[in-house]
Amino acid sequence: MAAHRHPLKSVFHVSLLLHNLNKEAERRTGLSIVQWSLLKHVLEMPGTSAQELSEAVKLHPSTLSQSLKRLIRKELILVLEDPRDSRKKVISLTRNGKEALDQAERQMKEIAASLTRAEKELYFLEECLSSLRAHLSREPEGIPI
Amino acid sequence: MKKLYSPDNLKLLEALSFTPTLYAFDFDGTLSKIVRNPQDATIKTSTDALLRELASHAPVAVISGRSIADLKTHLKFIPPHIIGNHGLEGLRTRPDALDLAHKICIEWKQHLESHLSKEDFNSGVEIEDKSFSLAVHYRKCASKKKAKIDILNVAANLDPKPRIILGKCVVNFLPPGAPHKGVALVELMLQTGIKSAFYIGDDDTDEDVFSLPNARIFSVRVGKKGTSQAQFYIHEQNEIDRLLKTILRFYKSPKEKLESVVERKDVLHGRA
Repeated sequence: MAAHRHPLKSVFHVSLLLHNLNKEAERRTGLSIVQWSLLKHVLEMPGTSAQELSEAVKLHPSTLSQSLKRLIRKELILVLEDPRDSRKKVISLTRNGKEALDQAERQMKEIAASLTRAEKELYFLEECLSSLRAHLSREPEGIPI
Repeated sequence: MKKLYSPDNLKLLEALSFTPTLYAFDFDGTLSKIVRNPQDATIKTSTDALLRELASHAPVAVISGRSIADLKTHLKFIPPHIIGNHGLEGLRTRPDALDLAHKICIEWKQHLESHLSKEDFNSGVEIEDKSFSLAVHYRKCASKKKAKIDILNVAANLDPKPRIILGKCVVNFLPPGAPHKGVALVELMLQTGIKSAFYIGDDDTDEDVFSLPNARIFSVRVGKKGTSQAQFYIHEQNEIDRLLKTILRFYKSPKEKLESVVERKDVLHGRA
């Protein structure tokens, strides 16, 4: 049946599922998977810059900015002026952020454990979506004269 | 450069305790007071105890311009990582590189002894032979400016040309190609696999750490200096115990912290 479905419909469903998965994770652990992943990176990179973080998590700076704002509102991270360059910002975890990560850790491990059987498929899906994104972000070819 | 003791900046310092962090300290002027005679430098018993306690929570290093042998005679607690001669000792320096550095220092010392005037030595210029580097001190000289110029003039004719690092009333001569404290700290981070570090120092030799383009090194200078590349400063050396206590407090659980606050309140209210 799946073979007859338009491939972009599947992409749409994956997108919806991921959105719901994030919501569900946030409801259960207090952190969405995106937030958990960002906090993990900030934990390991105290005093990091937004640019460095964006490269590490492979999120577009504008998307990252939105996610960071949510974490600031929750008082899980701290964004301050870079002491060496007032044009830049440094990002660090707060104690609340560390505690939120610690509390979410066990449940995130359970979620991850439930996915171990599908690791290969997930990796394959990631590859497919990455290829699709790369294809779409290519400059359109000119119309031959 | 910002004052470390502000609520926000202390939160940045606290974040280091959430992840494996290497705490590295300069010795002279940081863990110990600057004294007229470098051989008289000592670490206070309270500082030693706090350093020892910190080492039970996180990896601790001392990175100094002194030789390791000399440094060990001044430290009561020997931390797991001890780096001397600005990074030449204590890391994986090849033995042949150390032999070469030693030979160069012997020749430099002979040159300095024969070319600096008797007047310079009589006025208080002292050559400290650290085996793999030299330090020429002029703290005791009445005219420090003249002594410094004389030393640098003689140094201009040294062969091979040394890497010169100016310190507080001292000119350091390092063999060409020798590492500096910045290289030493990064190398130590690589060796230990620790990606986050804290470093505190007071001298121009510490600027090699402060100027590293690495956001994961939290740098503090002892004494405010406008041209320094350090991120933060504390006012003076006698604040080192306060700083160590602050770091240690971050490693204690919130419950313990709460209990200690309550105990303090009890003491204040005569309930202890």
